[in-house]
Amino acid sequence: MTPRGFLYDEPGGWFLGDGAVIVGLYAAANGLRAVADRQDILANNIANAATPGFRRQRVIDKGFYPVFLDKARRPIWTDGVRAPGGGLQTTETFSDFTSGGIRTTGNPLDVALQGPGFFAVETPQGERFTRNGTFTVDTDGQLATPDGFKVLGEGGGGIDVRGGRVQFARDGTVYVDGAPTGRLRLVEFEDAHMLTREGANLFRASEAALRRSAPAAETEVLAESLELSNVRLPYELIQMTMGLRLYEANQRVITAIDETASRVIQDVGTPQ
Amino acid sequence: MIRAMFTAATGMIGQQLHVDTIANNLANVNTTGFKKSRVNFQDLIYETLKPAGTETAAGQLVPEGIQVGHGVRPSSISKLFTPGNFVQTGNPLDVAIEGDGFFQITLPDGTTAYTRDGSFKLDANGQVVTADGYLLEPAIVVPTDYVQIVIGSDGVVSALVANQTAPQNVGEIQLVRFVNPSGLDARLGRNLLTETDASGTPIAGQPGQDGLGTLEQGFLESSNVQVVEEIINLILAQRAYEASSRVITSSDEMLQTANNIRR
Repeated sequence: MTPRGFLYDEPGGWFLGDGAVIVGLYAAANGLRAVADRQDILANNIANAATPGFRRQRVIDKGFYPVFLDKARRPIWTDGVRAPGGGLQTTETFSDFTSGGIRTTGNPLDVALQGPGFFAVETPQGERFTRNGTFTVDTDGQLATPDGFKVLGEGGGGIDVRGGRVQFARDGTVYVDGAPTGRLRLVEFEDAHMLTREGANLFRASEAALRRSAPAAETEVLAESLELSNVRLPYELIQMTMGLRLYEANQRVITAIDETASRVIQDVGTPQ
Repeated sequence: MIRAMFTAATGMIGQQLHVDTIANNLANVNTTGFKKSRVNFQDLIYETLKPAGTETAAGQLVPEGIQVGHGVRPSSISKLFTPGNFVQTGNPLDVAIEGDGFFQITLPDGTTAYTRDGSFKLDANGQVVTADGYLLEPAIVVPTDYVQIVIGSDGVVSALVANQTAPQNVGEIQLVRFVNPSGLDARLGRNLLTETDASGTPIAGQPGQDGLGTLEQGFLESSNVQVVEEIINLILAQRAYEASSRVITSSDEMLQTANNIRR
């Protein structure tokens, strides 16, 4: 990190540098910022409460390490002791991959996954992964997402579902009118948290994540069903209410410090 | 926070569309051959505030970074072609398709539309038409002095005429199917669908052949809307809408709080 004057403005918070005064003010400001970030993420979860296969995001908030522990940058006023921390910061977001529950729809092209696996989808940007099994048929007669991306089979190509009745077996084999035409490529990641969210229900896997992935062994395919979003509204709303109050509390801190500073300037500076 | 407001707005707009679709499904719960629609939702793009793998103040590597989503968008509204119930009407010109396929209807402008609504009528010339008077294609003309009409499961229409012992063949009903029926255009209403690039071109054939369904005379296919399912969806949509509206209220309060920092 390169120092930029008094403050380092980094994603997740303001880091204090030498010469910054009234540390509490920035600690509270960082709190406001972190809480606002968290509210944004909760809002996205709530907006996707009814999106099939959506995985809710969670935020890890963390206090700053007490500032200036590093001797070289320790200012005079922290001499020998730990300086106050910089408040709250958003350190990371991660996707919660717990199952969202299964709902039977009766639509033959709806497929749900039970277990840790993902469907593989071919997009113009490369292979992507999804838990959303609302599929349709594209003009080539192949299984596709509503956006027209082909759902990949085990061989790497699409799955032909032209013809009559489409059925999915528990192992992912696709039958059309009773005859197998392919098998869904289902991928399990050693650590699904390494996946990046791309929107459109798609996840991108890095090279490293792909290296540590394997064809599904513990994932079962449920036909004529959809996996629901794993957003739990009460949880999200409670978090949001807590966030709101925390935001208010941080604001009060700023007001209080402001008042104190005002007293110091006006009262102390006034000759008796 | 401003982002949270717009995110919540996408949630409300999406659920509004969800409710609109449910309302149309429920309104058509008794529409012959109606196929219910469903809104498919997707999450919107994510903004990466901090990419995974960056270094924190303490010199650690962030394993996951910070990604903030922007809400939800409806990706498509798909028609679900699950079969409806078959209702016996006893009317000889009511025909249900048991399986895949659509009837072909000639519109007044000469183009072809497709329907699963088989409640046909005869016009003044004895031609088989829909309730709106659009001709069935290929055209079938029934002699005006007919006594009985028989429609075979293979689509052959025969009419027994007064004072004759053997019924005469008056035509054949053809069905068509599409690779992707969900891609058909429902713009016309009136139970009629039209071809699009997404649906693929119609593949015509005789009922019962090439994967096409068979015909059932004296029956109608009822709507495939399940009231219970729609009501449950309606409750879910309403609650999701409500939750997003709470987000807006909450964000508003936070903005107010921020405004109160400097009194």
